[in-house]
Amino acid sequence: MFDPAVTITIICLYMGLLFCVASWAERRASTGRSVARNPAVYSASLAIYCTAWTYYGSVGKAATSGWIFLTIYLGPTLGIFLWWVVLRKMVRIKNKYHVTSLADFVSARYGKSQTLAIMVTLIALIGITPYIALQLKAVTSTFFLITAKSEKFWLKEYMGLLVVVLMSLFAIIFGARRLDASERHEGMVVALSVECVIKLAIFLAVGLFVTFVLFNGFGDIFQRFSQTVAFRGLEIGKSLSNPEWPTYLALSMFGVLFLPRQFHIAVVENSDERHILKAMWMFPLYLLLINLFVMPIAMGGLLKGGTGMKADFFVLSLPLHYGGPWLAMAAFIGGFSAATGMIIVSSMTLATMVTNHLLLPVLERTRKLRFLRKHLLKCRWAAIAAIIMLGHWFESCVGESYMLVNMGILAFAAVFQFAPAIVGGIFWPRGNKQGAILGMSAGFAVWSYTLLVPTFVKSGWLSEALLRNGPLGIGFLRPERLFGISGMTPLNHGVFWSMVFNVGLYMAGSLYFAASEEEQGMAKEFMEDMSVSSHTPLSTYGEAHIDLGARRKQVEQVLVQYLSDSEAGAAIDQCLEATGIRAKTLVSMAELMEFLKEIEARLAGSIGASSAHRALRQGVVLDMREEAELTGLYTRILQDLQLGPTELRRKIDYYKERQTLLSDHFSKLEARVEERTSELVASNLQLKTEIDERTKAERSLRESEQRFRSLFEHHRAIMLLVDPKSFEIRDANPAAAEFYGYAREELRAMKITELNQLSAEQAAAVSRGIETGEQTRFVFPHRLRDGQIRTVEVHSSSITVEGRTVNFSIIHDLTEQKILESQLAQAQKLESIGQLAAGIAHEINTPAQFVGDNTRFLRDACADMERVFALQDQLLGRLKERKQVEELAGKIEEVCTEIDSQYLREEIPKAFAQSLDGLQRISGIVGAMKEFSHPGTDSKVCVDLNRALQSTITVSRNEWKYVAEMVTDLDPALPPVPCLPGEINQVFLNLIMNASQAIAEAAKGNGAQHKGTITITTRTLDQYARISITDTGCGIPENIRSRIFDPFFTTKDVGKGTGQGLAISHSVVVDKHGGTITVDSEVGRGAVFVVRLPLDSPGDK
Amino acid sequence: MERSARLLRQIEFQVLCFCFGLVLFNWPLLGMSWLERPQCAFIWLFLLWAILIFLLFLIGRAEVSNTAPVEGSNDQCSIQR
Repeated sequence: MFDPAVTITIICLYMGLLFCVASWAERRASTGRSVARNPAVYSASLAIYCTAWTYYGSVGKAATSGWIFLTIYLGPTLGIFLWWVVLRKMVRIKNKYHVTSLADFVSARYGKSQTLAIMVTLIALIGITPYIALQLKAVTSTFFLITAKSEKFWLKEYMGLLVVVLMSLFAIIFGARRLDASERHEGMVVALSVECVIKLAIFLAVGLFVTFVLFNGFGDIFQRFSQTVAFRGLEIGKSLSNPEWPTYLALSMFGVLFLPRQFHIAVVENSDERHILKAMWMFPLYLLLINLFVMPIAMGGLLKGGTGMKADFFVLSLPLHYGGPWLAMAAFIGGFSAATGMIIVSSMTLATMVTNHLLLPVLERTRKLRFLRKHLLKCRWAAIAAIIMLGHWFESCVGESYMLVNMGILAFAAVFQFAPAIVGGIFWPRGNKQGAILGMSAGFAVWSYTLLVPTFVKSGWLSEALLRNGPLGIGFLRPERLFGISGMTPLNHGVFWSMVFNVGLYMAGSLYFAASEEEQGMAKEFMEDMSVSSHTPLSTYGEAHIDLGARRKQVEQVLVQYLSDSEAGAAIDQCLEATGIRAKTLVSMAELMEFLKEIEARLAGSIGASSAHRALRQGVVLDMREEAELTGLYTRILQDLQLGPTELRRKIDYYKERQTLLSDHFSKLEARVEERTSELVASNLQLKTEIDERTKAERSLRESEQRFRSLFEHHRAIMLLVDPKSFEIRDANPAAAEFYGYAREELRAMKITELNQLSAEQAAAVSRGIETGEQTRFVFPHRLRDGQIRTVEVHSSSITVEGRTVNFSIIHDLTEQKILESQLAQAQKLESIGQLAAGIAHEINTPAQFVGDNTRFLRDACADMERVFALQDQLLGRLKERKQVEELAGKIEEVCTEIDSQYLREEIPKAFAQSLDGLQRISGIVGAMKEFSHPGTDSKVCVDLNRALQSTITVSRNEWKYVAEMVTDLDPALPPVPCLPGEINQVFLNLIMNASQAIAEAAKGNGAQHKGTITITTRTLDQYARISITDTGCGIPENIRSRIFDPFFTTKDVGKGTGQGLAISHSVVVDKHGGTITVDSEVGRGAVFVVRLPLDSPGDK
Repeated sequence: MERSARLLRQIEFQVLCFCFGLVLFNWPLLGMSWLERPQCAFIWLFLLWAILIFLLFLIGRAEVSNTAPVEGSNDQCSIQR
């Protein structure tokens, strides 16, 4: 159950949607892109045939009477086989005579008879108003069914009124905005077609829900139903032999065209007779689909415990009670759609008929009300509201009566009374006004007596004695057994007798009474193939003596009774133009008659054919002379033709036939011209759009070029346009001229290779890179006019200028930046060296100290040894002189003892060895230092990375030796790697120092006494040299891992690190060497930095 | 194909189809006893209906190929308010 307020909101939203659709369609139509002129839309809009009576009533009828409901849709399907003959003819007649309604159509055929128009209007009004009430009843009943608090809700009283207001507004805005009712209402038609699609979709959804969700398909439902008592009681199978079956078929066959709303949609709203051909299968297909689930829903409802009394609302109640509240809401909207479509179109067409054929004659006869003739449109609006209101009043008065429930089929039977006059009018030339009046009035009277009166009795408004005994006790006239006939159902009985009287009197009256000449003419025109609405060429007969100005005034006086002054003037001008007499002041009788005929046809579009005919006959009167002249005109024509009456008739028939053929041909040609014209208009529009777009694009391009030119001329950046094939400089901006030191003209005469010093092959490779987008950034040395070589960064892209592809280069002088970078790198190196200096000094100091000690020892030892050597010299002299040898030997022994010569003999070689070792260490450190601080070069050289790593390990030894053991696993097969050695060493140093600091940090953190490990490995991997430096330090938290290569990012305390080390390392490896540097780490376990350097670096050796 | 299209375009053929449909959907054919079973009636009615629609589709297609577009002429020459 839904809250009433929610339901009303949904209704309002739905109506709002329809308003939007209609407005959109009208806007499209006004711009020549009509949506309504489409066979699918036409076919869908015809489906307003399926009203709430179909939507809810079919299921009810199926539950109570079996298959009989299907005849309402099978009848139209059968009748549609004749549509290409019947409906096409009706459409052509409508086009020729500006037919606005069913009443107008009948009236036009029978000499523009106002009596017939009034009769048709009254019958339609009486037959259709209760039908509108039935729709309103469906809306209000389902509203209360779906809303939980409906019984207490204050809107109960006003729900009907709300629907009335919404329907009236829609019908007025989209159905009666203009007086000319023959004009198509494209917005309304599109909205109706949308409504029809929605109701079909929802009905199918409900059908699928019942058949496949509540039950297990068609077979299951039929199987279960066949086993119920209800089936035996219903005898559904036998319903196919229902005696009312053929009657239903016949009624629906005609009803689908002759119900006023159907006539309006099928005939008046038809924009192209070829749409009928599509509608001939699309519309019956729609009917088939909407009926596919009727029987399953009916059976499903009964199987679920529903009763025949409530079967009308199974479509709503089944989803509502079995778990599909929103499906129920959709079902409600579907029913609402079905009802509103019918109400809107019916009220609009009935209002047109009422104003043109009931109100207008009254206004013309009542002097005091004549002023209303100028307000016909407003009168039509009032009529629409009044008709819907009348339906609402009727619904609230008769409520659940038998009459209202059966009004659907009664309305079909009522409009069936139009069938003889319309069908006869189209196909039987002798049918005339008197016959039509007699037949229709008799048929309607019998319909009222045999079908309507019994419903009044059954509703309790008249005495049952009338049915039982007949009026005044005359059994012969009992309404349901007229003339004593029995054995027929009431419907068959009523239709039979009404048709007997209708057809009989129509034919008898037509044969008995003679038709007027005018009517005969109309009859013949209706019989012909009306494919043309061309104007008959003006006759040259007669002298031009009639004052056109005076006649114009007379016509104007007639028109202003119905139209505003400006509209009347415009209409007269159009008709004068159409008859080709606009420039004339005097016209002949023949020309005047053509003019009046044109005016009448146009006025018919606003007030109907019969009213227009009558108005002009009263307003424009021929004097005696003119009447005589008219008679004389026809006589002269006959004389000129020199024909007897029989010959004339034969000739006329022949020429008419010929004219018909020509007209048909002309019509086809005209249609083709129209088609081509519309194609041309469409092409023109498209062309215009394209031109607009192109103009816009050109303007945009011009502006873009101006912007580019302005940038090019005034920007301080150096810009060049270079031909990608010849390498000629196409243009250079003033900044380029200033930079290179050449005049712009000189640059334009140069090739880019003169500046960048590339060979033609290299330049071509660069061009290809730019063209494919593979490489757009280059660094080249550019030579200036004064011979200076500047390092420049070139950003190039391929662009089109004035239709030619050129390389557009923006050049940035990097020389200063390079110097700064070099200085920065040098500074960093110096910083590192500064950092290393103390360690290196310590490393050198230790061997230097013991080399010094040894040297001092050797100096002292030498002094001591000098004494021994002196004595040895003396000993040697004495030995030569052979004197005092023993004494001297004793002295030597004494001195040797004194100086501990044995000690000296042992220690002196050691001292030498140690000193040499110390010197070697110093030499190694100095060598490593030298290698590490390799002087910067601009070009890469092939370097043994293992050796470079060893040097770096050596110079940094003091940084790590107290905290870590250094483990190296260097690949002896590692080939030389092209690189900038000084900068690569710097990278290794940074990584080793970081590793050492991380280990120290970890040791500090966990108080560990043992050393960590730094492992350095090198490997060859594909085309890369892979260097990994692994530490067992504190690791790098994941949240900062992505930022460690950012400049100035550091986790160290202020003053302990600048945050430049890893940033520079990244720049060196990635930017300068095209390699990669990555890190992997686990907090507390350490980190691995992996550097990959390409082994092949083209262009660098 | 052309012969079939010509057949479909003839008014007499369309009238024949109309009569044929009337016969199919009326007594005595609908009085056949096996149609008293709902599922049989359902299949019979909807299948025949679909066949008729297909026939209408063929007629419509045959006529379209033979017809020039003829639009309503009342758009240009009506009095508008």
